[in-house]
Amino acid sequence: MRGTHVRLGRVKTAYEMTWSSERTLRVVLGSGISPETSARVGAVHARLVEAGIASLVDVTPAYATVLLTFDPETLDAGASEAAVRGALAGEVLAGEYTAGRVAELAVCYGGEYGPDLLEVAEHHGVSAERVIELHCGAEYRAAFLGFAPGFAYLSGLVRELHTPRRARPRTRVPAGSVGIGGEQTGVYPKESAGGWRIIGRTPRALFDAARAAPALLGIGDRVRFVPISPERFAELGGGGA
Amino acid sequence: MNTLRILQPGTLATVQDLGRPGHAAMGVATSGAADTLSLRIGNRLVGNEDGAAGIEFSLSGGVVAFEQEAVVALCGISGTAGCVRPRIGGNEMPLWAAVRIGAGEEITLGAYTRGARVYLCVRGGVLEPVVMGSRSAYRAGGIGANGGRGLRAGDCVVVGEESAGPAGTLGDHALASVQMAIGRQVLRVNPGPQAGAFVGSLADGGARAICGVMDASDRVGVRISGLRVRPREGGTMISEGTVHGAIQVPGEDLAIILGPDRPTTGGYPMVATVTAVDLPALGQLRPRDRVRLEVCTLEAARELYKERWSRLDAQIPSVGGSSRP
Repeated sequence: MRGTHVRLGRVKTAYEMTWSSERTLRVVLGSGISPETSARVGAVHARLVEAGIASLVDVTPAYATVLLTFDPETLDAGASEAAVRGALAGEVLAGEYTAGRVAELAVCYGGEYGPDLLEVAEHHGVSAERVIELHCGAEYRAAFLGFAPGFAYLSGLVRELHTPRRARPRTRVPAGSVGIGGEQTGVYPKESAGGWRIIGRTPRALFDAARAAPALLGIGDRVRFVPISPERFAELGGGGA
Repeated sequence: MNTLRILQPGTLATVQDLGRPGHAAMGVATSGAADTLSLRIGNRLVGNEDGAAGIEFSLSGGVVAFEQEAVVALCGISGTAGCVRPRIGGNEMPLWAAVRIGAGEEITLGAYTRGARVYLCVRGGVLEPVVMGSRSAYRAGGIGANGGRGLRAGDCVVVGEESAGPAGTLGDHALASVQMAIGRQVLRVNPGPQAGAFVGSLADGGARAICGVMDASDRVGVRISGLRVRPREGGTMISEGTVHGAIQVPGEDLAIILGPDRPTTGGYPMVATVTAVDLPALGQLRPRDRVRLEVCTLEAARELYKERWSRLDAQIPSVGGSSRP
């Protein structure tokens, strides 16, 4: 991964803010999914984390919102609100939002690692090679991480690969599986149940609590998938099916 | 090195402290004890800081053997029909009191039908490795014994040899108020964030409904049926942040009150959030319990929380230091 600046120009920080419970302040930065809104979420998240706001115990960025969770034991609602408004005052400058690194994820497509690759190809009336080409041809953006440790919501899947989820979710999808679910694509960080179409698997660990940086991806990161052979997958330490 | 050995974990036994807040942007839930009130008071009883780790036993059973003498406290719902009745050898062991246990002795929890969780606090604290700021087991993150899946029969757990302060005691009056707090079957909630996205509201009817706790309830969420609200339109939204206590409504007759191991973001609308003062009671709900929601203002919720803890701090002061590990 290498550091890179995201070119955003000046980002307006107009926002709405409400207490969604006595201890959670919900900052709304947009109403839908868009690269602009994601950039604002990233910038606002960074500012709030850096601001060192009293009693703030967690910050949860998502597509269009940032949720701030406070410690009810020490919370002073008025002071917290003022601190948040202070941190978000003015415009966010492009240089503030530098989280966007580029991550390349090696993926072994098809076969035992991507049991649904042929199904996806059939669904779209193209070859398996074309599915791989399309999936690797795009650059994805980690809009945010959530749901489970290390899971990145990746935006940027080309329309030609939008594929409905499986009618019957699998009870066991191995860690590292790369899937397509509707308009989304992503990597399962840990073995779990799941209904996405599994087209490949990466040997990289998306989350490892023992690492200095447990999550491989971060908010705003740009992600590319690079196809590898089963032999290379094994060399890189990938596990069996 | 002092250790205790799990002879039987019961339904689920995990090491928990007050959790690891601050990592939600990585998708990492807070985890920590489902009933932090019982854990914190249990720690005060044995002379630990509030944030020391203990063992959380869930739903039924659990047998623990001590290889050295130890001072322990068990906390959970007590004094009612069906509640846990722990024993040391042939003798009954009181809850909510520091108890000296001899080398080679065993604590047996047995079966119970009232209350979902019992906390074993040990003087010196449980010394499971600290991962991302906490000793709490977290299955989705693969953190803790056996990948976070819980302690197994034969597992040994290291216990600290020093405690932070003297053991405390809980008077009858304080015990009664603690029991009331964790045994509540009416949970006070703040409406929102998506309170407007529902047909029916908690204020006009939903909050009068008696709901049933469903079997598929765990540390991720408590599932309830019978809440008389249902989402408008498609019932999903773009994913946003969640908090322990948020009430997601995926469909017609299912609501999920998110627990300590919740998914950090979700796409189901949230009708309300259980106030912090009632999260310990949420952690004590077990399948087939009845529960009702009661709408409360933000100010009242904040006041109730602070009142609870200033009263408890006067009755049984915390032992030095911060409440977090």
